[in-house]
Amino acid sequence: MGNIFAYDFLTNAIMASILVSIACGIIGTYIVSKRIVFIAGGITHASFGGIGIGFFMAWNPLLTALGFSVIVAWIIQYLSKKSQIREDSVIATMWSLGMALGILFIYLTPGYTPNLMSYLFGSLLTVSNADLWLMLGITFALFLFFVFFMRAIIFITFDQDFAFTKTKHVNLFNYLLITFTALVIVISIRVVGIILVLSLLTIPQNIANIYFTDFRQIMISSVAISLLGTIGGLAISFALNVPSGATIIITLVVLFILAKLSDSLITLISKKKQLKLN
Amino acid sequence: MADIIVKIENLIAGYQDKIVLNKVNLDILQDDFIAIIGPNGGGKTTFLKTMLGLIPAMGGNIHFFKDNNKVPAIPIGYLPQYHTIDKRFPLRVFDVLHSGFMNDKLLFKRVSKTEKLRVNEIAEMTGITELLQKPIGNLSGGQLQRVFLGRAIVNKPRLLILDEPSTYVDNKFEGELYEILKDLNSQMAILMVSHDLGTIFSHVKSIACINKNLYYHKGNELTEAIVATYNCPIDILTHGHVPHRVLPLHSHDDIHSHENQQHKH
Repeated sequence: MGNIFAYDFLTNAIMASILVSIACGIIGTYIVSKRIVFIAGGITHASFGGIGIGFFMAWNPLLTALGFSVIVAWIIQYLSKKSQIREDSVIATMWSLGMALGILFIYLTPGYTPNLMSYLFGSLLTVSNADLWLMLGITFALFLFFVFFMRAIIFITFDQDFAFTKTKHVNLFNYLLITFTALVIVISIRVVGIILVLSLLTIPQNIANIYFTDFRQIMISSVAISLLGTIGGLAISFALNVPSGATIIITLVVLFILAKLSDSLITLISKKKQLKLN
Repeated sequence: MADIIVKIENLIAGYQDKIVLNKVNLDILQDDFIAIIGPNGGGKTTFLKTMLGLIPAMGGNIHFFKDNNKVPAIPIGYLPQYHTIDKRFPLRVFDVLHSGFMNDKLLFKRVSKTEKLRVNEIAEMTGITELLQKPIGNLSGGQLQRVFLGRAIVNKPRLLILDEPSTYVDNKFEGELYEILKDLNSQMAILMVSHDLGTIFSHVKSIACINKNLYYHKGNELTEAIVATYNCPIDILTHGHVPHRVLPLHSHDDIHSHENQQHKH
């Protein structure tokens, strides 16, 4: 693997891992704190419809997926405010409608669609320069948004009703955040695929939550844990010659188990120490 | 007479096609301390939420006043029902208190020194100074209610709205809560929904019963006759040597129906 071509696609894979780790670390903390993992799951699977449309129209599937999933996110956000509709049912409907549209459009697409699997399970090694620019743009915008509006985001997410009594911008923030959620999900599809995206948005945050209890701390450490999981997983997948997306997820789950075990061990030891002192 | 700060006229409120409140009228004065009572589902929380602008009014008007001039809004402090808040949200007590400063303009600013001082002042007043750096997930129900009360008053509102502040808290906090509210009442009007009808009456200045309509009662004695005229079916608890429950007067014949009711509880 020492030739120049290997170096090039590996660089892109590493760059993509870094950008997606930052983006998922940030938006995943929002998703986990607000307990909207199911909404994130709905948007993720619905985006398959956008990919199908992309194949059918012979456009870049990632771009059509971006547009499609943002619209789905807005529909979920809009309908969830209407109390006569059950929010989880809306999400489930969008979830399966997107998947159904995706399958239908891919079936209708003339010819063979070779890289369908790469959208379902990710394909780090085929990340193009154009994909990278897209990831960079979205991650940078997300980063700026959180740097400038961190307090507002935390306060509004924590207690919507209270925030409503204080500012008229609550809905604007809700829509911006759900839009960023959709955008980050789609760029992450390149790394781990539709089926596995959810874990990139939740496992690092849950590891971080073992050690930290503050939104900002969880966010920063989630980025670090994501980096460890994606770069580590990529290296392992490269060494063992197995699919990268799946290896990244398994690496993260192993990290989670190790963190949980070590934490329980530490609690146990400190308990024993306290008993001895008494 | 104190200045009027809120005037509610013929307010109709509810959800979708269901009208919960029908033509409610109420004037709130600057020095008011009103207990809002009434049966479950009678519209107490709907009334508060409509006043706060959380749900749109279906009819009628809510006017706000400052120095007897009509203004679009006044600063209102709000303590929502305990169960509506996610207690495991990763946030520290200091940040919760600080979020009370949030407004359209201050949404983007960092913590200023005056805000920090005010947060410390409020923490002292509500007795949570040692908890400021703790995550809210580590707090007890009573401690959390102190935090949420602090958040509601940190920006010195003209009106404080409390939705069942004494649920999930111990008796000690309840006593302290009324002490704090008594102090606050010199600076702001207070509107408080409560189920705890035993102790509330000795602390408030007037009572409003909401049961689709609003019945206002100046004074804080609620006799059975008043309850009857206001059509306000509520449980009244009193304190005695043994915890007990007072039932409406009844003849011997219908004693069984009461026994049946007791069994339901």
